[in-house]
Amino acid sequence: MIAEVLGYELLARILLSLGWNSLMQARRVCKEWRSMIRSPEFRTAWRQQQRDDDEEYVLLTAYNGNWDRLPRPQQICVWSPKSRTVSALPPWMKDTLPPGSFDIVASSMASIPRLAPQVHSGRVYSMTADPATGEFKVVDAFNYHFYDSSSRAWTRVADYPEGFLFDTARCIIVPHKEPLLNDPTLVCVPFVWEHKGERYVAGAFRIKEGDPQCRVWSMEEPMDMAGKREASCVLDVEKAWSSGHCREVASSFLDITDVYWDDFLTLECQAEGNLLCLAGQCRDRYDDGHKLGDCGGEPLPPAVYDLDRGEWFHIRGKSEAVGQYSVGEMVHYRRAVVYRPSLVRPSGGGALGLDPEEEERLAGHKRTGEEQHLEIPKLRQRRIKAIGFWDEVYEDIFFL
Amino acid sequence: MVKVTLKSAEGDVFEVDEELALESLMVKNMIEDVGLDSAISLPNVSSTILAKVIEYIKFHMDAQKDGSKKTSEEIKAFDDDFVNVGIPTLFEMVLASNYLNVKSLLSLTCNTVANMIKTKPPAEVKEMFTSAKQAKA
Repeated sequence: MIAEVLGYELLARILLSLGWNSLMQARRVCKEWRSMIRSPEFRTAWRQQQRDDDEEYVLLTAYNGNWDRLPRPQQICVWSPKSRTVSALPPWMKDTLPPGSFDIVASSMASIPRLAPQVHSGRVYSMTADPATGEFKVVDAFNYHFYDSSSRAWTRVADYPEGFLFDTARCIIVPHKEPLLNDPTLVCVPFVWEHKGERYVAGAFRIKEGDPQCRVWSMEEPMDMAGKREASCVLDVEKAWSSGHCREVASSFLDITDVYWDDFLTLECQAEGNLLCLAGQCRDRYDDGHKLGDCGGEPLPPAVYDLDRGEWFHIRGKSEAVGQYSVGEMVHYRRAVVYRPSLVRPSGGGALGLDPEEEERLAGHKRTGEEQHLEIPKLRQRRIKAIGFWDEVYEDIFFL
Repeated sequence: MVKVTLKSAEGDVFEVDEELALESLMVKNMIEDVGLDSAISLPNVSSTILAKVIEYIKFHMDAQKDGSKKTSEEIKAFDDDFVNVGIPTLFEMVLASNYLNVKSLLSLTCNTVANMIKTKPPAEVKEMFTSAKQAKA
């Protein structure tokens, strides 16, 4: 019992002052420390202690120096803005990461734009995090693996019960072995959230070669919650589906006019309260006869669904820079940026979101009963601000 | 100046200013309870450690006094030097500052231990605690 030396209280005091990473290291010291750190009392106390300075993470993919070309190394790493360090997730990531070669995939921070789950070479990554503990989970949806920061390991989704959901505030469904809703292709990790006591699921699909479509369902009780610890966290979507407890609330085609879109479409779905925001990007690929290249992507105008009003609204906005790049040129707009609807602001990539003022203005439009597109000049100013932020994020990453 | 007599585990007697003794909340409570007439016995603190604790409190009291010429760098250098001791001594100081309830010393020593845990690989941390335990036994 090495806790004997200092006694439980003093040891707890010392361990409580550790950051998340050090704590994870400390767990490996011995069994007692491990069980102590894992105990709910300790976690609660630690959370309390860390409330002011949560370790937050941005999930990144690492590229080789030349990020115009495919194939790219599919490396995933995590960057902590606080400690400004990149830590590797998978054990196979041994190479030193070159500066300036990261792309944000997702972020556990509300203030940093989260990006569409990234699809490259058939892989989809998504991330969810517990803001209180900084514990995060990364979903590799294509390979049905997920990474758990607390155990620092990739696990096969197949080893988890069907319909397993991460118990964080922002649940992400791990797709089953068969894609959800067999026929249409799921182009977005479905999002589950609750609003006014009702549970909703939203996602985006591509039906055959057709336009992508956003859909929102409400999940009705009774659902199979037997043996589930926290009802709000665990939900068997597939089962609810087959038992007919799912009701389609809304669907809408994503507006892809004026957007060049090829085969690749990535979307992210986020929701909060009555607002659902679906946004993403079309990817543009070329084939120069030798190699497949990737010119970056074009952001899709996000679609926002308001549950309370029962209406979709589409926000148009096309970045001027997109479409002008040529092969081999540095592409600045690599990803569409999606903000949480609660703080939707115009984003850097030309995919515009809403901000509260704009929302009010939109509400005005709503009363006239017509859908009206926002005019770009009015948003430009704020968009520049957003780009500034975007640059800031990147700068941080550049100077790791 | 009123003096307080502190008695260590070995029975050694330390005579200190009351002002200094009051920095230890534990001693402060004892004084309130039993008064200043008899020596305050501290069976959990060895002479070496008690001397160190007194040295620490004394330095910081002097540093806080008006007219003190000590810069924050000097204070930091003193603190760094103060905790630059063997692991068993460090742990004893953690325990003593906890027992005597000297807040600033407790956080200094705890932070030192925390930093060691942060910077050392788990195996070394384990080794550190095991050896401290053996030294104690």
